[in-house]
Amino acid sequence: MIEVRDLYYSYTHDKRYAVAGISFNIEKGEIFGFLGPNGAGKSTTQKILTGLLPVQQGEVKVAGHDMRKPGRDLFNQIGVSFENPNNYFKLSGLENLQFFASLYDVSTADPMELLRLVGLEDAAGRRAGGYSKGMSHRLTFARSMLNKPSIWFIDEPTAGQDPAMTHRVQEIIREEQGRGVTVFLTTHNMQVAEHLCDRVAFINEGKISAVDTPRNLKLRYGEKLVTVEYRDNGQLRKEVFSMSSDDERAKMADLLRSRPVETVHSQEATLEEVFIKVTGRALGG
Amino acid sequence: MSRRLLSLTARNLRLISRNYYLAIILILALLYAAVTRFLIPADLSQKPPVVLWDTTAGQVMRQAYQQAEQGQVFFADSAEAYETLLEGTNRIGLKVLGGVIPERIEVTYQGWETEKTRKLLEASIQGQIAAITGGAGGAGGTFPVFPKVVLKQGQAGVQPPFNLALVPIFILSEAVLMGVFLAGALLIAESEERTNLAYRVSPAGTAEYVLASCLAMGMLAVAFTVILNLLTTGLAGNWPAILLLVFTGAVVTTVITLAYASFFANLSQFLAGMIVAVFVLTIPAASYFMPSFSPLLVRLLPSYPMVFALREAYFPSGNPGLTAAAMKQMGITLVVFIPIVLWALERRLRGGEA
Repeated sequence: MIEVRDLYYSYTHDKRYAVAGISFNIEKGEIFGFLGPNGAGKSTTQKILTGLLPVQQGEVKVAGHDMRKPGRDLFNQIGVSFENPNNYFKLSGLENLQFFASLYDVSTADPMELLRLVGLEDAAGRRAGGYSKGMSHRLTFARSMLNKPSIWFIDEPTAGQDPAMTHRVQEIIREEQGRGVTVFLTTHNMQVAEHLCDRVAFINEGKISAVDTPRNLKLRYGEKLVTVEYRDNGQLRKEVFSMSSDDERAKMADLLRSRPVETVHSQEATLEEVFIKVTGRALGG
Repeated sequence: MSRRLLSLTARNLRLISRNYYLAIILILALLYAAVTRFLIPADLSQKPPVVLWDTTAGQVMRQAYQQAEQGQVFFADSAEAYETLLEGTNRIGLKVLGGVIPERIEVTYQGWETEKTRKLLEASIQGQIAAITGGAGGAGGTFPVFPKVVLKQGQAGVQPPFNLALVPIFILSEAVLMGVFLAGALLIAESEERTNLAYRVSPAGTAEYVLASCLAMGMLAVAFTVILNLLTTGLAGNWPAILLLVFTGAVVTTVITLAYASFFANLSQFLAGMIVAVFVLTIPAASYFMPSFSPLLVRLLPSYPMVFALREAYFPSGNPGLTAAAMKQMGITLVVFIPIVLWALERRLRGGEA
């Protein structure tokens, strides 16, 4: 559904690339996570994929449309939920959705139904300018579903949401995937990415460092650890052993034989730890 | 497309209403009407400056004007000076002919003087001569006054009352203000609320955006004009021509403003630009009151033919071609600016502000 080949983009039209030669494919019905810190190039990539920035160099196809000249038909097929809410402050939530629904040439979802889906039915008649950040974000999220998109670009879908709503948003994304929707998910939130994504790409300084399933990335780059708590002369002590090292495994076996062990916990690397290991950079920075 | 266009136009009108712009427009129309009806006098005529060339040997008229403090008077001593002093102004010429005493006076008008002004001037000259000759006048007891030259025949026409003559100016300023202020403010608000990005990832295009803005501004300008007309000039005037001119004028200023405003990042920056745009587009108001002020750059402004066509539509002087000329010039302006506005908005929506 999405094909990207050797994509470059420079805001200054010189060799200072915000995106530097990235390539990836996304299959129909896949949830593809695009992960990276601020300024890594993920928003630039999403803007190119949604036609907000032109293709300067490389090839980009979305639903078979060459993004050098995206036709009107493409915009009937895609939905875009922006990281920063962008609604008409002076229109109500319902009026916002009704207005945008009228712009499509395809059959659209019932705006009130969408508001109900994201828990905004009680605020449907209130002006969007009076919404909290979380509510505004949900309204933007709901708007991106108006045209029942086959390709859905979602940027930080759980930003500003409480745990219950975060869970609800993840459910909605899963439900859409069940309908065959392809999802391009941009996020900082590794738990969300790990929970939702079939595959993820790590992007840093405009380049993709790794693309694979979260499980494969953790297996490839993460370390399996075992934490052992034991008593030593009455004192409670803790040691962590790597299962990928023969020496460490031998040390742990020795400890288990020689000391009174109280607890043993196996521990996988998190996606965030893998990210840091692969890119050398934390997601927050 | 028509459904999208209607929806976009309705959204514009709704946003204009919710931002209280509609209320401002209504208040402005009522204010203009009140000022026109109650504050500005219908007759603001004053004695025009006179250029006097007394060719008689006695120079009695010159002496009389020098002594009598007749308002602003310029004295010429030759035909050349007389013609030079009359050029490009609102002055009236008096050429006194005769031997020793005045026998005949030729009057040169610019062309836009009212009949009332002319009669007052001639009566004043008669009185002047009567005073000089001790009330006896010339050979027949009075001296004839011959209106001889009318410099600008095309300007002659029925002069409306001064207060109502301002209505075309109010209409012009409103159409300009509406186009510049509202279209610009809506465009900038779209950027500040980032709704332009949401719009850009929908199937709606830039041309529809421009067209819907023009429709909304045109409708508001027409509504303002109808209110102001009904409260001032009533049902008089050529309404179809007035409404056509106002609607087209609003469309032209909207297109120019959208192109212009797309280069400003926020409302505070745009305010300075807006003042400049309003100032430039309303310069032709000066030409309206002083037709001789018509340099080429002013004549190129779309508001220039509009204001004269509006005057003709309100107070017909037998020159209906002014409407067609105004429509033609505004049409040419649109042909020039539509590609520019489409390029500028597309640039703003895509790379320009990313």
